[in-house]
Amino acid sequence: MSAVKTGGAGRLVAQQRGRPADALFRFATAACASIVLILLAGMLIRTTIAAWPAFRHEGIGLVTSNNWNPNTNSFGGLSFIYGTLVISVIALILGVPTSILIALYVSEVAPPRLGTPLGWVIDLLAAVPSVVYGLWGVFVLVPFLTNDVWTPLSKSGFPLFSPLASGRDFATAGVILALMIIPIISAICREVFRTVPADERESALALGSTRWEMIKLAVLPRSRPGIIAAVMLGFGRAVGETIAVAYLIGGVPNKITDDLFSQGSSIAANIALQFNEAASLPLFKAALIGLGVVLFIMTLIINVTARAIIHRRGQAA
Amino acid sequence: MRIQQRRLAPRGIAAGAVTMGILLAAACSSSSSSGGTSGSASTINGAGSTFAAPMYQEWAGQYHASHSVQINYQAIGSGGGISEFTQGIVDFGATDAPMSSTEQAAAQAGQGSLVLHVPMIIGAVTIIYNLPGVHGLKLDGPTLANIYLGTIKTWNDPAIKALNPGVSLPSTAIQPVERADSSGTSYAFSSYLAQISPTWASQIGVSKTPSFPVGTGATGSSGVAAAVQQTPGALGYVEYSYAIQGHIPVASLKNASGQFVAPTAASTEAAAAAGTFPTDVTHLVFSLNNSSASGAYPLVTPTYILIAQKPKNVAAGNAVKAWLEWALQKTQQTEVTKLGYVPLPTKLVALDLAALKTVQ
Repeated sequence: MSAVKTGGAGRLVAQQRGRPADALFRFATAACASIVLILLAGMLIRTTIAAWPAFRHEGIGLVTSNNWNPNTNSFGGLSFIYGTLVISVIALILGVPTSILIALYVSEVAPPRLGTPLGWVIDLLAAVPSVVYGLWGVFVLVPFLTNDVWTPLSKSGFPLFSPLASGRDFATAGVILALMIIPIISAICREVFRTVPADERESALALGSTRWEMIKLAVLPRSRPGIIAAVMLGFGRAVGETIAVAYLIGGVPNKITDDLFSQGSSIAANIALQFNEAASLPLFKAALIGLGVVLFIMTLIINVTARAIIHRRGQAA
Repeated sequence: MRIQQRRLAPRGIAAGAVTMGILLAAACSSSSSSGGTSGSASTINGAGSTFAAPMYQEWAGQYHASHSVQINYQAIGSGGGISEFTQGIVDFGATDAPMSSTEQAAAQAGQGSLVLHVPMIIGAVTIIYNLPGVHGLKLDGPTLANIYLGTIKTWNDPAIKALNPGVSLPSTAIQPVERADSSGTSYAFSSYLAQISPTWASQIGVSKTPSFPVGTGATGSSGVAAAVQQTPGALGYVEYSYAIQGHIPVASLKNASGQFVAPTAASTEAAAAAGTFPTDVTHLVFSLNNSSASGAYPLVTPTYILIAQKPKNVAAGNAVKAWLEWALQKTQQTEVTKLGYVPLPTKLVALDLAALKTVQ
């Protein structure tokens, strides 16, 4: 307490008596930072231990077998990994170009009077809880998509789209994920675009570039690592998103199909949907925690890949 | 500034006093619930079934008002209820599906006592559908099983036509909707189908998370209701109250005596009244499915409270016992209809009271 007071009593005084305060400050920051590491290690170790019975029971089948049936003690979670990746990829395909265009509009095209409030709205959307997206998805998005988008698509004969069931499927879950990651990706991209130095923009314009050419020559190349980082963050969120997906994916295990109008399930959604009743069945509980470990490792791989890409691009540039 | 400070001071004291009071109360209640002496605890904790949660929470609130006993009921799902009760975290558990023999053994080891199932609430599971222009759909168990097994795919299937003479049924696909989350409703539904259809019994079985080969999963009874209402051609199963509150068309089901019966409070009560209950009050586990009584709806399910016969914490055990005895009184029993359940039949109330009498 007294050290803090000393620190707050004016610059000169603080510098003279600053050594204990500095030490305390360094200790406090280091302690807080180490909490993160301890938490991470603790979670990974504890969940792996808790999931061990399932790893022992299923072996590698936990991630390679497509037979999940708690009633027969079969815990092959491949379909959940598949579902997680399918909906995340749909979300990226729909979300990334849209996000980049939104960010370009806000930072490069729109007049500040319009761009600034638009930026606030994007930040606001990024803060909407996922359960709200899920409920909105059930009561607004599903009827809209089913009636106006999926039905024509399913009649088009395009291979990925079978006759429609109930509008709760991979495609719908992918769309809600796209809507959830757009605010995040576009908010980060906007900040990235802002860091491009004004002289580079101006030199491009001075050389006679149009606005689009200026963006292509000056803004985008400079921002590439930042854009990749934003996309990976969005991907990370999509992979781990739980409640909205649980509401909209149709929650059916063991579906691995190229039909985007098929029901399925994702890792996070399945944990949320089945955990309630698993508590009294040790192996079932272990298997769900095991899925959690798998999800953790997937997120880790995504993050490491993203860092590697950014690092390599950074060196190349 | 001074004036403000003077004003603040008494407030501070008051706040301090309130905090102290809360701490003291907490200390008292914890000492009484962990004391293990006779008498009755002022706070009891329970966890489990979401199906029965609205009723337990309503009863808890009323009981607190009239008897000053705080009942904390957490709707964490039946499996969670069994688990927390087995570990001794809560004073009572609540489950829609009776415990398996393994679960029962684990719970009895954890509690160090025989564990009783006390059936407290009876409710119906209704079949809801979305078929514009079709009213009063009739189904039977085998047909329902075949729809959820995927062998009956369209509404104009001969099996459905035969049950609904004179009704023009469309050739559209049936879109079965089921619970994606684990649920006591799924347990009741799958146990009914398993009793009726040997194929269901061997391929799918009875479970809170059945592996449905077809259909769309939705979350919660309200999620199933929404999916059915949004999807033409859909069929789903929900607790009775969701169908009634949502004004969703419900199918009549054929009972064991061949009658088609719509789910109503009266037809659910008829099934409950005609139930055959065990004579061993230490294991009051039974099924009300597929009743043959006249006018009885065939898909009716009980849900249970789990308590130790010789609770480690005697005070908490007595408090749970007193609360349940109170809930079995006529006034409380007539109130269950407000939430879409039916009162327990008199002979079951007598059995429950006899079971509770063995708790000490």
